[in-house]
Amino acid sequence: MLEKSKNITTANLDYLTRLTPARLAVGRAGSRPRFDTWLSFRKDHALARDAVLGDLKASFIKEFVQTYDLLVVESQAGDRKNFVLNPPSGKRLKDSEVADLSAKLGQTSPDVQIVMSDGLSALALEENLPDLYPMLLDGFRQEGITMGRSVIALQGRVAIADQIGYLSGAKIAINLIGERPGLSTAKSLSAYITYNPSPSTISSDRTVVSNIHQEGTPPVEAGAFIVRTVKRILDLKVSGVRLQALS
Amino acid sequence: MSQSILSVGIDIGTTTTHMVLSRLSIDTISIFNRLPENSIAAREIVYQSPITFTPIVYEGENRLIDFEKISLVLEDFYKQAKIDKNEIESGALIVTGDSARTDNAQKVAQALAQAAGNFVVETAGPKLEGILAARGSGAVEESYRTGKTICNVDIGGGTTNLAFIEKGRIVETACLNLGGRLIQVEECQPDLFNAEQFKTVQCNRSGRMLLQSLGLSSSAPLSKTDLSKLASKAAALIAEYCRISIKSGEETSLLESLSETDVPSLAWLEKVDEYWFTGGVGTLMKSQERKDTKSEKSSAVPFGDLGQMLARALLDLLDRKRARFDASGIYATVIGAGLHTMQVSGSTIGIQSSQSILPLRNVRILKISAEQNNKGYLTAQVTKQLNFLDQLDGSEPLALYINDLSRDDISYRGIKNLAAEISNLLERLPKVAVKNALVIVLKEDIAMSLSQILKGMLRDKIILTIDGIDAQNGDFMDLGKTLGSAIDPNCLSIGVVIKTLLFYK
Repeated sequence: MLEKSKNITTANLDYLTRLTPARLAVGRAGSRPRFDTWLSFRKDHALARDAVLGDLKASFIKEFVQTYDLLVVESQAGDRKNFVLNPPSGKRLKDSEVADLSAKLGQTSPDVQIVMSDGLSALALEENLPDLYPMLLDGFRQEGITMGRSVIALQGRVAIADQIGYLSGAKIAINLIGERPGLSTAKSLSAYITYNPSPSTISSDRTVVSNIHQEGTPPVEAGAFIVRTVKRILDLKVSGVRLQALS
Repeated sequence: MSQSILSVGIDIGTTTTHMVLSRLSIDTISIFNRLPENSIAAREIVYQSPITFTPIVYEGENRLIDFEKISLVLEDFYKQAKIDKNEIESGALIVTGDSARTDNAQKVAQALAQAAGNFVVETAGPKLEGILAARGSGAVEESYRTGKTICNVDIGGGTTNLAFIEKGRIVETACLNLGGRLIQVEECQPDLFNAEQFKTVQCNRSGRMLLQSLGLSSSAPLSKTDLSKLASKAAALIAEYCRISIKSGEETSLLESLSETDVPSLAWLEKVDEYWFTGGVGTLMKSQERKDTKSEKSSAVPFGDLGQMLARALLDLLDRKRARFDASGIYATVIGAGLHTMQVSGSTIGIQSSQSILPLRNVRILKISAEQNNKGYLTAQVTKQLNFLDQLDGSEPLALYINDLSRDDISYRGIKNLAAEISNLLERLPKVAVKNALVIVLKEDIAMSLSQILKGMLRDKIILTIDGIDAQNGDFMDLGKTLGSAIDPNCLSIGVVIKTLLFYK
């Protein structure tokens, strides 16, 4: 075999830049970035900011709620500004909502309680849910896994699903939540899956399937994968770090 | 935690036969932006056989590979390697060049592959020879790393196989029926002036064509000058074929009749930055280039063929600035067969452990082009291809390789449509599911979702869906064992070999 070249050449750089969407070898103009580099950075940064600051579109909520008979709740944050400035407020439901939601969900103790939260990218929900959610519905039905009525939680963070799952008495809570945007994508979604969810759930109890978007794991494929993961969690009765320890 | 696989490569060439044993480590790695993937993380050669002559026998008109002798040769290699054949879990045996033209090539290949280990596949085909040599020499890797356009030229005894590689992708292959063993000679009585003379023992079709073009004949004794003329002619044609000659102007009609495939297109040839020479003659070129002695006398006729003379003549002709002589040399093809034939599928595939139909051998690949707005396209395309193939005896399993999926197809609706197409196909042409099984191959990461939807629709069929596989260059595929992930048992891959079985006419 030939010895691999050790020096970085333009050709090698071309290879390196193909490996990652990060801004490698973008050049410079004097002491400043090149104009096109600067513009593309500004554009991606603006998209990331919009994703964090933007609310879930009313039209999207309306259509999705109608199609799939969902419930909509709000976290204690109240609005986007407070959610961003006061992050812990997104972890819990508004006090006034708890009793009402509890009644609507009923203590049905389903296998799975799905929550969809805007998190740090409402855009991620709008982009990925239309392909991901029906895959989950199909898959759970096929596997005989029962579902509670799904909930959209506005201004929600990861932990809000554990509280909602606890209210419905579900064995598993799934939070489909918009990820913190980066400069390569603002549309990425994660699924946090907890066995035996409760307000005392901690991060290590959650199994995560991340990077769900068209350029990462496509939402349809992620849907099928989440179904299998949920099945495994139901079988083994454990999620998070301890699930990994079992494999 | 990684899993390792012992893989064998066997190359039965025109002149020589060799084998390599290697260990492939399968590792689960997290790639940016995705679920964990299983992939081959390292390839290590653990045994490289000596170069041994391919035993050829003649029975009347028939040229045959001596099955018993070659079996013994391989047994001997295993003994030298101190490896139990039962440990071998992957690999390929390829019959190349004029050996693929012998009358028993296909039978021998099949029998030897079976004997070589459970998961060893037999392969043949001019395209594949070029591809394996390019992978084995490291030209593909070099092109991927550096962005150079490389033409790998593997010159063996019977054929010269070209592979054009652009940014690590093999974009075109070509095969010219010229090599070091156009003719086999034996020294005979010197002539009246006591000069060496040679009589022809064997001469292939290309050899006869070249002799004729030089006004020579294989029935009369040949002088050393005649042989050297023959070698120069072959060298000029090879150099012209690759467009690396410093002088040009060989007859294109002769080139065309000697070319097994289409003559390589100028569009590709003009882009080539480097030529890598491998194969038996490539190795001889390398050793001569090192010495670079102009002493004609030392280059007699070793091995009773033209290999040495051809190497010399080529060195004199080619543009050395663009030529590289790779270290793998004669072993390029066999390294390609042993180390680079297996692909690892994506880690989210559709396979139920209860359906143990693996391994599957000789699955015929039907290439399908997805047509979004044409309901029933799958059935139409499969029907057309099966009519064309005119064979479906119910024993050969089928794989549908779905190409040209658009971004819209990678959606819930798109995959439902694809599943509906598959269901429609199975309803109209139930015989495509041989023994109730059908394989679906995809490049895009959607195998598990397609499997989930299909499972809801077709409960009595075994549909195996695998993704992350490029099957463009193959007619058949072998599906080997499943490769698990240490992180999550749901992340499962399959070792896949894409192959051709084109024994030359």
